[in-house]
Amino acid sequence: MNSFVLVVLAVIAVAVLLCLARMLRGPTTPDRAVAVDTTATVTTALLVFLAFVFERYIYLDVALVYAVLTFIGSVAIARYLEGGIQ
Amino acid sequence: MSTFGAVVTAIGAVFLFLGSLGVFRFPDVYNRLQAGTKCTTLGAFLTVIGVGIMEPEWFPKALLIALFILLTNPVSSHALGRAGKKSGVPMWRGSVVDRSADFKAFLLAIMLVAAICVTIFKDLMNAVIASALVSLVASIVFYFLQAPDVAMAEASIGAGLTTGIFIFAIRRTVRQEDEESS
Amino acid sequence: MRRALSLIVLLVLAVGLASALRGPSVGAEARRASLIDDDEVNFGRRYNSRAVEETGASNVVASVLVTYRGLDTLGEVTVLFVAATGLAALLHTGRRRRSEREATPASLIVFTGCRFLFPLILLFGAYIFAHGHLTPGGGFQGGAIIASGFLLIYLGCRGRQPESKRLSAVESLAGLAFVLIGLIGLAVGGSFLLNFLPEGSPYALLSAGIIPVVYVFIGFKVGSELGGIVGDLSGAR
Repeated sequence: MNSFVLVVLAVIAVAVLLCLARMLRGPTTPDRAVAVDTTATVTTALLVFLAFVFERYIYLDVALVYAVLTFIGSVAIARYLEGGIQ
Repeated sequence: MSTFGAVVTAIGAVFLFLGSLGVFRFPDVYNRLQAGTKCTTLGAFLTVIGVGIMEPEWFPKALLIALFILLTNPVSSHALGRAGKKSGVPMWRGSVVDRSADFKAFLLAIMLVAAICVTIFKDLMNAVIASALVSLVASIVFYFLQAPDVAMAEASIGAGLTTGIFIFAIRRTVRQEDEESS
Repeated sequence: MRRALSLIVLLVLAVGLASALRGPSVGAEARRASLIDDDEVNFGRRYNSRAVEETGASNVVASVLVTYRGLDTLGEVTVLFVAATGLAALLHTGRRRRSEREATPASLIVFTGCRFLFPLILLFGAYIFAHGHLTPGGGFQGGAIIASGFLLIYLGCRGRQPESKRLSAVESLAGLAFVLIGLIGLAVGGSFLLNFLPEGSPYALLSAGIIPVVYVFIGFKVGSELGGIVGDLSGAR
């Protein structure tokens, strides 16, 4: 059981690292936005998985809030980059 | 039969190599311990069993050696791990706690890198994106520390609202940070 | 120069955070020295052990925020109010900044998605603050989610703006309601923000006295407040 948790955490950690590398490299701003958006998705899954690991059903609310709000943040960044903010 | 034994031994050797590679390359003592234990134990087991298959009269003793390795290697690594680990981390649940301390350190490292990026990036849009990442990771850290209310507040305010507010501010002012003013 | 300074500040913060997270807390050492032993002095443990019977809330954080430290929450709401008012005053100086080029309208997908999601986000925010005494969350988190819904309208729905007059009206009324509840507590029981409603059974929606009521008002207030801030910043009127 514990090694299953470890493997999943390890894979997720690698995924986050790759996204961070992309955010550092760029070279353009949309690249970085994509990296952060991907990190957000990965970490939403991570939060759900951690809710399973910590055995707390109520923690799923946090994952839901996270999903909704990172979506809004990504939309804000994207709309600015396409010129849609007055 | 002996080819099968050879294959098993070869696979065992490969795992021994991989484990040692991990011990060499991994960045800290716990990771090296991981590579040293799991990979190397499997490799040793397979190698020994493979030899026992290749020479069938040796098999009972080879099996004994393999089982002994299987039983003792993890125990000694566990002892080494305990010796290396500082006490003070509150135990909430079995041995996942050790990993959760490592994972917390990993998250904090990401947060630090992203925060440094916020100050370094000249294009303010990139800085806003990096600050969104800082808030994201901070939210996970709070979650890990068993504070879901704070995690929710950080997620809702840091990920969505302050990003939007910063973007509006950039729209009203400048997008590139001035060279002279830094 | 400024960049070096900000890096130094970051490093100091990082070191402070790291040392705070690894070592035992001051309380732990005092507890070991048997200085803080019983629940009377150690507030953390006191709230933890008594919160559910005394207030009826399953979420101890909610009971601390609204009953044990309700006055601090009122101060927090006041700070938010002052910040929003100051921002509005700063931005409504009469000089309307109209950009020459028109903003790119949102694509059909974004428009449809935002239109579909906005009521769901409002509902979700309401769920968070209505269940503040049961699950993680509460008034501030729910309000922030609602404000993000308003932000989404501004971003994705072509041309529609949140109505700032109605938002300020809701904000003021909700803040007033919070203070009124405190005054009712004063009239009924003798102390401001006393928990005068029945406690009910834990995990029920209608329980924990005034905590869900206060959270509903805080949710409305924070939601309309931050939504108004978003509207002010985006230049909407």
